[in-house]
Amino acid sequence: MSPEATIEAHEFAVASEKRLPESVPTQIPSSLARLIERAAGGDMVAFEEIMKHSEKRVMQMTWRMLGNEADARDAAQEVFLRMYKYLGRFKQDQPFFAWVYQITLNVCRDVAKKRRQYSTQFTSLENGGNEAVSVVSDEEDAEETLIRGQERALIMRAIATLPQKERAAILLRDLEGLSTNEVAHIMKSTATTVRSQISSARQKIRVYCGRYLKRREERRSDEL
Amino acid sequence: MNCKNVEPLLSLYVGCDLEEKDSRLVAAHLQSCTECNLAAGEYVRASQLLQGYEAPFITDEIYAGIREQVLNEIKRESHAPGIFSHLFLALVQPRMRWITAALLLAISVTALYLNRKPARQQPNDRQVAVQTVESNQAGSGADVPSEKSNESAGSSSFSNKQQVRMATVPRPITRKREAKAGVVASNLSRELVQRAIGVSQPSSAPGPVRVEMQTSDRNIRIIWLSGQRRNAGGSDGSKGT
Repeated sequence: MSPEATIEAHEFAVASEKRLPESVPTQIPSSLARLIERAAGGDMVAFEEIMKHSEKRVMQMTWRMLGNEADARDAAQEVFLRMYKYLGRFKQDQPFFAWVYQITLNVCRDVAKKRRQYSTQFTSLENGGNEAVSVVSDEEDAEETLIRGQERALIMRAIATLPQKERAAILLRDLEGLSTNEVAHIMKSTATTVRSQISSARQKIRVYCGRYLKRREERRSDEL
Repeated sequence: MNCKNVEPLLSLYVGCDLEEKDSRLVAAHLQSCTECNLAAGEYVRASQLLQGYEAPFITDEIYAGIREQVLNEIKRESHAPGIFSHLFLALVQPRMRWITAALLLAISVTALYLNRKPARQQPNDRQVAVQTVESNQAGSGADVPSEKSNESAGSSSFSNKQQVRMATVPRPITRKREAKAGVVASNLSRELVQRAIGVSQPSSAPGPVRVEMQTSDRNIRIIWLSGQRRNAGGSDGSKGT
């Protein structure tokens, strides 16, 4: 019904708005800046610290882009190697994670090109997704776990249908929580283009998931 | 705003990517339109689904393994020899020694040859065509033999003894060169030329004498012509160009 949906949409919009600034620090902390300086000078301990600082983000992004743990690991490794190689070129006045995401996207694009099995690997992730969900918690009841697994597989397939740029745009905006301008900076594009890519990606995901969502709604209404 | 306008904005509205003005308009439309409201609800649920798209839990051991591999790779790359080292090592191999020695010898011989070769003398910017007329030219009737007069006199006026010494050689000028002062061309023998420069035209000169002298200014050339054969030692003419 309309009022509920409107409220939901408003709430979601407000929640998204609140979420964004917290997610990505745009200024580099002084400790990180010192580490970067030391690492650029060849200090391996400092570089290891930088890796520890950014590995979760890198791994998440590579996994979301490639949809495969083995590829994600390889890509993360390559991202760190490139980070070390180009650390001297990093300017302290730019956001560190934007730079890291830039490298990550480039590496993911290269890995995807190399493998030539992008979409097939992605769709084969259904099983991997279910495994991951099964690890989440034993306390959750089986049905809930099953539904979660289905949803996860569904969204994976939906994302697999997206072109790479749209995929990168929506992942950075909706999951990594970057602003449109930051996404545009990372993707070396304009905010308008990124907005258009995000809009297109959301529409495709909605269409892809629409049937499943409708069925779920019907099931819920029947239960009530 | 109607549904047609709102529909493409819904996905951006849900993600707070619209400007405030558009966002307000869409919100106002959603209050009154059930269809758009349902569509907005679907967008919201799809976004919620998307939020569940997380990477599986990755243990610290995996992260540590990645770090270790990266550090090892960096160390390996820093110790790896460069391209020149590879080339050097390849060249000093026992199989390649003779080839290397021959190459070095060839290079040094070429270098020596190029260094010892004298620099070629560059000709003047423009070499002028000079025609010489034999002293015993008969019946030309012209004081100053020129190409035009020769042509008018007919082909017989050009005997075998007439020679064209030089032709114009247009060369690209690569650098400015100073013109050398002195005699450029004449139809006299060397002794006569020397005498002509030093003293006056000898009375016993066999025919018309033409002497060209280049001044230090390359644009000025003095052409000195003697009189007719029959008036040997008579009128002189000089012309500057």
